[in-house]
Amino acid sequence: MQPLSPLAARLPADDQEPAPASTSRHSVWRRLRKDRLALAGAAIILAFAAMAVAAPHLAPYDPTQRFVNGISDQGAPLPPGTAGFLLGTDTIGHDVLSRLIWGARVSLFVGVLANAIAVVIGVALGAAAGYYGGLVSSIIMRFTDIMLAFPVLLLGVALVAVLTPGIPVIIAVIGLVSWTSMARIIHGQVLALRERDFVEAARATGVGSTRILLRHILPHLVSPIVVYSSLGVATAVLFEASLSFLGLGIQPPEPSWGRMVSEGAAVQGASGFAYPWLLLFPGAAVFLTVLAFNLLGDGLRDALDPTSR
Amino acid sequence: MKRSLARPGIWATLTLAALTLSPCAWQAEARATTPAITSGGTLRTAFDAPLSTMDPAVGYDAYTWTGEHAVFDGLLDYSSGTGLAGTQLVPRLAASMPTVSKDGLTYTFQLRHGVRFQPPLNREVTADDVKYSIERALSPRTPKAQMVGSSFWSSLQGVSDFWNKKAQHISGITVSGKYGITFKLTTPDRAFLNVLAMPFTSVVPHEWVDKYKDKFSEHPLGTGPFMVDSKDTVPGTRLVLVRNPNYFRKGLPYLDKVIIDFNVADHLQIQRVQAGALDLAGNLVTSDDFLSIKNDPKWSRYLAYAPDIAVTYLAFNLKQKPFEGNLKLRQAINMAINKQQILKLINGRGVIMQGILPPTMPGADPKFSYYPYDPQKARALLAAAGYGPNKLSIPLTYQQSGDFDKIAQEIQAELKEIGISIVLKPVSTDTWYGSVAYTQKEGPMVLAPWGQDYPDPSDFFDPILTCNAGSNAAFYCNPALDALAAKARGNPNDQARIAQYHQMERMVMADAPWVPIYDDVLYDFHGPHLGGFYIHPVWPFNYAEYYMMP
Repeated sequence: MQPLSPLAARLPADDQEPAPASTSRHSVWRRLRKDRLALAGAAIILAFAAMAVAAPHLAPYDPTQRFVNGISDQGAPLPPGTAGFLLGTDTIGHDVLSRLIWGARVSLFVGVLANAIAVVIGVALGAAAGYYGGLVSSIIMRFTDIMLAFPVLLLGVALVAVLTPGIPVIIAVIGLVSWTSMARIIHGQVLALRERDFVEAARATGVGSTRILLRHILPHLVSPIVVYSSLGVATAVLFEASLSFLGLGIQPPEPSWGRMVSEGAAVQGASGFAYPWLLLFPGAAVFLTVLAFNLLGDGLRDALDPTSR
Repeated sequence: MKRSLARPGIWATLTLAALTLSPCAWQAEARATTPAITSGGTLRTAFDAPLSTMDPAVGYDAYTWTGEHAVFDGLLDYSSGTGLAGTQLVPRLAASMPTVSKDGLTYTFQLRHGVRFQPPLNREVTADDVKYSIERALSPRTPKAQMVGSSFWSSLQGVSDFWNKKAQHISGITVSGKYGITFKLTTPDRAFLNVLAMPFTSVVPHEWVDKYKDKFSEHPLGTGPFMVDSKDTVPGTRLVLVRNPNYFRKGLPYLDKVIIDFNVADHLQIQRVQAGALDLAGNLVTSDDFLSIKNDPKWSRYLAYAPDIAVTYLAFNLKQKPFEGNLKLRQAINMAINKQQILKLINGRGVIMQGILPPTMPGADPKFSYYPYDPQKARALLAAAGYGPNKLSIPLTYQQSGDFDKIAQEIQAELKEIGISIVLKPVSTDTWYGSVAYTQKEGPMVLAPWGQDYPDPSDFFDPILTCNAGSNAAFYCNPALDALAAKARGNPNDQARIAQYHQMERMVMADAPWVPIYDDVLYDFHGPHLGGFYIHPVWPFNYAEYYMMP
């Protein structure tokens, strides 16, 4: 950490701003490396991310292309293993494998971006409330409480319903409704940090509030932000799946895992699972992604804060 | 009739030759009136949406017609039975079929004596009630009345003065004595009795209408086999019908009670029938459920079907860009639609259509083929229309019901192949008929269904393709067609009349306001305890004739 003012530079060593605890890259990596589950999570995420990036090269077909021979003569989808369709087709005659691979793009892209919005809003509001206290804190935190009191999915559904569904809208809506817990966590952290001596010292030397927040306090927030964002991505992926499941997310014919589950569930027929592959593959993809982000998030929390074990 | 895809009601079949389906399955549903019918019991059924109204002057879809037919009667009705058997006109409140004057302009009815309204009214029905009810249905003063200005009634003497509020009554309807009523026409109309058999003319008591005014729909009272049990009925959620003790047809209805639950999704209805919680799924069996029921020997025998006389079509809004004034674009899309594939998506349950008239309708031309499927030519036409590949994006509006989601996606895929991108705009069925269909809110392109109101080719031109038609999804207007339609409607010579309809079909398709796609076959599913079930071509359920078996 660079001393930020000449005065601070001249302070005795033990009064200087401490390096944020336990975030030295080496020690974190050492601890994380021992955590097999977290590594497995990271591996799954990397695999899906690679799949999303390389989708145009990996997918056998255009995911929105429907094949005239993609449904049986009776009008049923083709099961996995049918020649040309490794994971079968859906009821319109799309290739399930291609949709699954391209669906990773939508799901991860939406998950990561939406979560980024939530993190930015949550950190900004939480930090401002924690640092300034008083009326600012009351207003921001009461607003957060109000947001928390709404069922998030319901709020998201209402917002998407009045706007035109589409990827940018989905990302914005998920971001706008899921920042609350991040704000609460950051608020608590900043409340404690602002009483620390190094903040006091910076203030005494005349450093402005914004600068203190950005240069002195923010670095100490990295570990909770990293941990809760990885969990947040999982929530956002699930949120997109839920919205798409309700028909409010990604619009046809674009594939997303949530939409695939939704379409698959609608066509299982009265007597149970007529076409299980339509549910199983996208369902497993959502499940694995959410699980992987949770495992990684847990691992990161342990690695970044050894005392939490 | 405006159709909800989920539950089209139709006046079906003129010719059984239409049946492309196996005749034995057809027989199977005629299990109908086998011996040992037991009276009593409760029929439990469900729909995916509430009935929009129970006021016969307002209801104009198959859902509401089913409900209205259970509670009300008109002068005429249709015979029992499915397909052709159900298209015969029979007297209901009339004592017999009317006497018709030689010139075909005067119809005289005598009412059945001693028919009484349902409790608590219990009063006898008179010819004045019939006149009052028809005038109410046609009156511009009745809120949301569907028949005001309708071409169905244009031959009735004095009706336009009545619509223009120049006359208090319709001069063509006269009452003589307690039971006599006469209708006078200005021109012969071969469909007039069919028009009289539509539920709009159901007889309603004036004192009851005056009492409840615009709330009459919530307190319907007529002469029909069932009456609404207002104690157990929950508006928007559940409709309970109980036996009318005053009903005049001996021995009917068999059932004591019919419970209709609303807002039950079609898949769920089928699961509930299989679990024994329902006796009849009110919505049609969609392609998602169809194969699994059909391939299950335990349940496939409870699948009933009937051919439809209807057309599902893609309509281009001729008053909006990009279709306004662009014939080549409309022709391009006509040649880009792979109807065979669409039919396959719905398990082949239907017949492909090339023209306006369903294949079983007199006047339909079996050799008619205007726009064969040809993506190559479609691309060329699209370029000639002024659009390069991937330059055009068009919203497609449709009611999200039954198999329409799949069909819309298929159309989207087909048009993508010639370089048009389609944005899907699904709306719920209530929204569709409440505020979208046949208004400019449709947007430039809609997927629309039309089912016949009565078995006559005029019903596929007059109400949907003439300039002032109320259900004209394409906003098509061709004065030459209107003139020919007016001539054909009253033409007494069958041969000449059919030639006129052939000509009209060609006129319309040359302008390509539509892509006609298919005429479907209806499938319904019921439980093992429901007896006498058949799909009526008009109502489409005739609760009065169904019964429960132990």
